[in-house]
Parts: sequence; structure tokens; C-alpha cells
Amino acid sequence: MIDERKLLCAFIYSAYDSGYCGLGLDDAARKEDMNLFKRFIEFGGEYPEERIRETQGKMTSEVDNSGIRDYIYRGHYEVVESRIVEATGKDFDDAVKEPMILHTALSCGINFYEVVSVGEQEIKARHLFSGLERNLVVLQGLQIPSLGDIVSGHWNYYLEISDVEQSKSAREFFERVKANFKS
Amino acid sequence: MMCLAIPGKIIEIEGKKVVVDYGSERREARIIKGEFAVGDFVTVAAGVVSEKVDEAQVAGWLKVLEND
Repeated sequence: MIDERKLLCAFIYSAYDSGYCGLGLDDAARKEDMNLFKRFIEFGGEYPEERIRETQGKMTSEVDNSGIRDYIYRGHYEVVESRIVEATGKDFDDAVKEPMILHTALSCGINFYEVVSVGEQEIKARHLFSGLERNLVVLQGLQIPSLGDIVSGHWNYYLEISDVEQSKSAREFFERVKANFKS
Repeated sequence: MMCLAIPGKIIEIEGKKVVVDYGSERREARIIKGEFAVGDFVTVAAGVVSEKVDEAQVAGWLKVLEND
């Protein structure tokens, strides 16, 4: 597991880069934040505390309340659900029957994978609960995983080496979305 | 913490202006850079078309869930 601050920066960076950050930032502000976060992740530059605080201020105080890792691997699924309800005006269980919402819900929540190959800047990984294989970008400065490692990922990015124990909420969320999609 | 923007479908393009359909509502947005076409699913940030949704990823989820 990596430094919590690096994990938080990688978590936000991956959302920003995937175009899914709903904070209403314009392109320039988003890029500026991404550069700050990436410099910290890659080169151990100064932690962009002020920008993180501003970002959190626009979001909620949940990270402060529960701890970064606890939030990312547990609380965030509830936030994804509430944002989808807010954005679609539908119950979550109905909203995820729509393919684009299904994709958004599943990709926005943290996913867990088993690493099947390791490249210089990306890994190929098999989703623990669906078997779906995909490539995940590995940001320089993060811990490089090995074949067979269980890792977490957010959108198109690898986050950190993890374990099956940590994936309990992810499994429950995935099973719920799957059941509702198929009903 | 919020990291979510719902993708919408581009239904009109006129120059740099687009209309994005979210199903329940339609909103205007601007293209600053990139190539987009009617029918593309995109995310929008601050009124600007941000990213095209990778439809292969959407198809991947659908395939595994439908066959499961």
C-alpha cells in the first residue's frame, strides 16, 4: 500500500483525466490541478495541500471524516449512488439499467483486478468479479505491481497493490449493479 | 468526494456549439478542442465538452454482465 496522500492524488487525477470529475472546473483549472497532483505522485514534489483542500471543500468533508483509504474503498460507493440519483432523477437501481449509467457507476467506483501482464507504463489486469480484462495506466512514482498481484483501479488507472479483503464493498456494489442491470 | 459526470449524447453540432441529450434533459456545451460528431457520448465540464466516452469499455461491461 502506498502513502495515503499519493493514493488520494492518483484517485482524483484518474477522475480528472477520464473527464468524469463533476466539480465544474474549466479545462485550464483541471489541467493545472492535474499537473500539481502528478508532480507530487511522480517526483515527490510538494504535496498540493491547498489545492486538495479546495477540491475537498467543493466536494464533501468525507475524506477528512473517515480517512482517505476508508473513503475511497468504502464511502465512495455511496457517493456514486447519490450522484447518479441526483443526475438522473431516478432510483439508482433503475438508473443502472441504462448502459451509459451502468458504465459510469462501475467505473467511478473503485475496482479490483488481478494483474496478468506488466508493461512499462501500463498493466493488463483481470477484473476480480467479472473476469473482464483491460489495460490500466500506471503513473510513474506508484508502486509497480507484479504478475498475480491484486490491485485497485479507478477509471483507466491503476492505483495500488491491494488485497481481496479490501474489495468487500466493491464486490457488494458490483453485485448490486449487476443484479439491477439484469432485472 | 465527487468524481462523477454523467455522459450525454451529442444530438446537434453547429460550429463549436453542441447540444447534449441526457435523456431527461438537453444542455448546450462548447467544443474547445477535439473532434466530435453527432451520436458521440461525451462528458461535459463547466459547459465544455470534455471527453468522448470509450464505447468499447461500455461494450465490455455489457458483454460480461449479459453473458454472466
